[in-house]
Amino acid sequence: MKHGVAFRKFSRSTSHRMLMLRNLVTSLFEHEQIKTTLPKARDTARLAEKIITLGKKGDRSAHARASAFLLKPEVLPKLFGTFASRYAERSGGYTRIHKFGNRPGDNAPVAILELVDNPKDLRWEITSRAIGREVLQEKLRAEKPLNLIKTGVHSTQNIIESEKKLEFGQNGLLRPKTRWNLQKMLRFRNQDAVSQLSRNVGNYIDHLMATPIAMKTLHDRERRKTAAGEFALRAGQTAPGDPRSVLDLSQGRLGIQRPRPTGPVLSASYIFGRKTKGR
Amino acid sequence: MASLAFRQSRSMLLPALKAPLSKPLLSAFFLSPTFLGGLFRIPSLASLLEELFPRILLAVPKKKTSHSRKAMRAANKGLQDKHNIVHCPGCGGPKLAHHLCPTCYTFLHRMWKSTSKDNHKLS
Repeated sequence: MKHGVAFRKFSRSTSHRMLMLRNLVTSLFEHEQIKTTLPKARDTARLAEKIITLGKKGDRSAHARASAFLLKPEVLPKLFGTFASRYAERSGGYTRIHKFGNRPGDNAPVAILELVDNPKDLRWEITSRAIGREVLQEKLRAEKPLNLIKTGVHSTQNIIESEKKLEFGQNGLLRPKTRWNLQKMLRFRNQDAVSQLSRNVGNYIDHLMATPIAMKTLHDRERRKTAAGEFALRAGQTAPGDPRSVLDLSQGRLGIQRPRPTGPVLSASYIFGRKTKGR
Repeated sequence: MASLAFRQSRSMLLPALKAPLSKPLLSAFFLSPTFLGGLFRIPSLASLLEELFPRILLAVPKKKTSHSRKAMRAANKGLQDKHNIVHCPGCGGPKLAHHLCPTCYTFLHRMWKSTSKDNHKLS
């Protein structure tokens, strides 16, 4: 039985295990985002957060203990400088684990362990993409796709500021989960985080709007036609505005065949004519 | 004790003789005390058989399993469908629930890699 045992053994001796975890923590501080197996990520996160607490303390004994633990002296100024200031207001929870499927060689569950609010923060990027896509879907309900592409979307900062103030349970433009992530992202950052986020969101909306046009250009250049007249969508992928479920779509002919959406969808065939009539 | 062993082996020989005589039984008979005239004490027939032909070697398939029966046995070994597939809120493509979207991550990773490469070249 293994009820309530806190630590994993990793099939290694104590010294080996400790050194492996020290290496992982050092690498995490060096790169601020690492990919490893999920159990290793969980144990590393636990240790890394304790070392960051030492970094926040900053006294001589903390320096001694951190330098005894970490394996690269280059990481120490980062710990006592960058991380200490970054996490000054945050009480705990300095790391984040994203599950990322299974490794091909041994089918081990893999995770990406990162420090919160680092320059390559994954949740920040994915939240900005989610906000971009949802804002675009909302705009598509009111305007035609071509008009939207010509004018562009400029109200992202206002949207983000209004969504930031909403309480849990209130309705807004975004999905509840996306709004929750937005609020979490902006909680411990300074004021220019809002403008940064709105810029990211705007960039992604431009990217989404440019995709069907770029694909049409490529298609015209290569003069290749697919059976359905759509291209560059993976199995189960939907263009913005399409309400169909991924579980039905990804099964293809074996799944439930749903009719094509009647409303505005940001796809090439909708923008450049040949609107399908429930094919 | 010897007489008991002799009697035991004899009683065991009788039902064996009723069945069609096979090689192990013949050899067992030749080695039995009755044949040798009680020259030396040997272990009982059961333990002798066990040593020469362990039980596991006696089990053998009678016929080649038919294609149909083999296929029936493999009926429960199919792959399970994944039901935890959801839309990625970022790109709209399929992804596993509670996992990162591989499309989005690949895009971002390549973007960061190219940026760091540019910085490296500049510096």
